[in-house]
Amino acid sequence: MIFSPTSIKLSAPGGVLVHWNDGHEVTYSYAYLRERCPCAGCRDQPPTVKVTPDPFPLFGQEVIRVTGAAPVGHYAIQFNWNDGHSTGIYSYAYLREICPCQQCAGLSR
Amino acid sequence: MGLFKKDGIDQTTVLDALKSVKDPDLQRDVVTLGFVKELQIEGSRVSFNLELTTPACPVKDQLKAEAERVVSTIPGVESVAVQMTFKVTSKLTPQARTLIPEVRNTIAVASGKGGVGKSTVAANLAVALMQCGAKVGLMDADVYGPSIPILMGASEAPQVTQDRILPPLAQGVKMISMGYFLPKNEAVIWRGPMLHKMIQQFLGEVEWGELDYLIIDLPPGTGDIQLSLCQTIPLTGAVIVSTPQDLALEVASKAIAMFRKLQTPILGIVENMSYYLCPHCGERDEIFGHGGARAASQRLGYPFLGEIPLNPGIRRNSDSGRPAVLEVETPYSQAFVEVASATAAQVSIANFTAPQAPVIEG
Repeated sequence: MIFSPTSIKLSAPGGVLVHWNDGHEVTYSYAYLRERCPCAGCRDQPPTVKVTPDPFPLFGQEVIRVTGAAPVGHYAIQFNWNDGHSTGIYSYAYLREICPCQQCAGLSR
Repeated sequence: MGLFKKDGIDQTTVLDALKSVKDPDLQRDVVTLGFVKELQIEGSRVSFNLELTTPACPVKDQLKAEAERVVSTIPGVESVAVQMTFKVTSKLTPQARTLIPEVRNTIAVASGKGGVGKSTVAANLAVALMQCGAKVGLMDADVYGPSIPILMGASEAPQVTQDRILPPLAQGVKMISMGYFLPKNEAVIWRGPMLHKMIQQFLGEVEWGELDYLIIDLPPGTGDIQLSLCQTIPLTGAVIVSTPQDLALEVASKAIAMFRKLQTPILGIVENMSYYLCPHCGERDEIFGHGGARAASQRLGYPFLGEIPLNPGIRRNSDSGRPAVLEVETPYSQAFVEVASATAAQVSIANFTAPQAPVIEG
């Protein structure tokens, strides 16, 4: 089966909510998605932004979040982030692969 | 019943009869598909239109005959007039709608290996669809070896206004090619981002207007251009061209793998240079083997779109800028027409079955 989303809600409670064509439904937290940004810049270099919550926040650090998204052909989605980053093209196959739900996490990792 | 009753024959009876006429490609009956239009009953005379999803429908005559037959068997019907019309279907996604709002379908012609006749197939596919009555555009995305202007006999250069490019017409097809913008004996030596820009310009800045089909001739391989194209617009599908030899098919399977990865539907495989009919003795020679592409398409589960012979006539036509499909009564022009019909049928099927693009909400 080729997985593809039927709907993607960018500002659902807790992050990005994806409904899949097989009925699977899951929320990706913004930090989780951003840490797994597949773009060349993020993959080959240390992340340019710190996305894991700072354990000792001195000043109110801005929380990473998705501000917009666009489909890429038939196979992927590109997210725009509030810090200006937007080069990551998340293929649906990749998005499904990194599904954070317990059931899927058990399967792939 | 009898709501529309007119002298004994009512619309329901006619529509019920027509429900037994099935489109073999879409596998539904013509009434459910909404093909029946302008149904009129005057006394014992029945007339209606069958609005097909493509003018190049391979089963057009069959559907017409079948529709006439079933309606004429209704008691009281003395004459049946069926007119065949068409309205090319489309599955426009928001991404395509912003870039090429009036282009209904985009078909990439691709191969793994070079020299298998992609451009020849693309040019003839475009002209064959145009001859059926469709509005067709042809985009030459092969920047390294732009051959479409030569194949189409296009001498007229595109007009460039401030931000729009007006594509010239050749053989009734709107076309654009890098060949127009490049001095003779110059070459395109570009890196990825430039190629990406070109693809976006060829789609978004060319005044395509309303098109039923935009045929896109790709360079060989699985590189930047293919990737950019599949990212910039959701293609209706890709036609894979291969010669029958194992080597070519092996490389073609790489192109297929790429389209699969990018979730672009494969409309089917065309076997080019399928066989050679000796003009002197009439003997058939299978220079690159034969049937390899058909076997491969069966193995991989994709439609086989047809075979085109290796023929000096096709070569002469190509070099002289008159696509071979324009020649009448040659076996090879018929082969191109069949490939075009099969492709158009697969486009209709793809529009019918392809999944909807995901809804993205804020």
